[in-house]
Amino acid sequence: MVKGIDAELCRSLAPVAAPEDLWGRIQSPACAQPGEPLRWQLWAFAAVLAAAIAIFCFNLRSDTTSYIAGVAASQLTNGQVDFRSADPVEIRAWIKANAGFDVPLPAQHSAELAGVSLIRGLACVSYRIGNHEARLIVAPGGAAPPHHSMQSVVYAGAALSSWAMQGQTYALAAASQDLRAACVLCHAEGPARPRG
Amino acid sequence: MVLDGTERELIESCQSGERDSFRTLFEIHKDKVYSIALRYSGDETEAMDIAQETFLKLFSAIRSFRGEASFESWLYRLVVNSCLDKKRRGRRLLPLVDDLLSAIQASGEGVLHKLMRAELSERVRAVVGQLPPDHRIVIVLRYTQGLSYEEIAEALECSPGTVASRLNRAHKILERRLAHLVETRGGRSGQRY
Repeated sequence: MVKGIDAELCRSLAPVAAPEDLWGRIQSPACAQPGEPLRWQLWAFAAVLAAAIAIFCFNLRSDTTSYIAGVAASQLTNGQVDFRSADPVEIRAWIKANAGFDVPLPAQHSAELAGVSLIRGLACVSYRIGNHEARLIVAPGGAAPPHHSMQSVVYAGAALSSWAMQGQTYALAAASQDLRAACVLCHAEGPARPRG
Repeated sequence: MVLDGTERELIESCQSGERDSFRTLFEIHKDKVYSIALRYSGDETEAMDIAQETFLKLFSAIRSFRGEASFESWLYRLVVNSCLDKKRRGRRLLPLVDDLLSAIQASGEGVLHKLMRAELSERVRAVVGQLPPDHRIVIVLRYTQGLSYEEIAEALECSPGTVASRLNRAHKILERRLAHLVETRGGRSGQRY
């Protein structure tokens, strides 16, 4: 390192004070900044999704199911993950280690896995099918009935579905009207996007 | 457990949904989060977006924080992920008119020096902004927050050896691109680069 560059880095990259309006933006995240058309679109999409969630929840009987469906939909615009991996085996192990329950992700699938997050005790698996974002939310057992009872809705370009199976509650959200495409994460016979 | 009593109480209060506690937590960490975001992105608007995303993620996920690692490490991990998730945008490579104006508007004495310093800092930040994201974030955590290799490794979820290796590579790139500027500043004044 050339003498002086280290000091220049310290000086040029010194910490700064956060702007006063940062808290306001956090409290009202829907307030988009001027000159950012993409953000307007994202928030518009989020607003439409919120309406979809409301309609979906109204039509559901199970509180648990509607809750996790809402979480799945709200996560569609969130690209962040707690654990980034494209390997279903790694993701399954991470959920087991961090959430304490098992999500039976098959080792073979044609989805493009991005990773997994824990959201208030729910596992949120992020993946893409072609150009569409998709989220699978899984809640551990408890109130979930043992039988398979699927509820689905397609609204404003987003598809939501939730069901209970083997003591766990599942919700699937996809930024696409074709929810079946998002099923390839666990079901190879779905209309999968060919890989490789 | 890494948390001290006060921080633990504050976090527990946030986990139980106390609104005032969120504000307190924000006030404690806002400068840190924004500084990393700004130094990584080189753009104030983008830095605001990153900071906003980081705090929203923090508030929505704080119930999952179990205190097994330090809260600060967890926070660094969130802001690092927000930074790395952002697409890199075009950056300005020349000093902003605002910088020059503010320097000129300063007292007459040392105006030239201030201009040169402002320009040099801008160049340094521009060169840092051209580093690959995984190298740039290491440099920012090291020089903006003064984190140790171990702390950076924890934030990036990699080994301290990987951090050392990335820092070393980043230093070499910066040395190559900035040496000329530092020389210029040190002795060959007036030479353009």
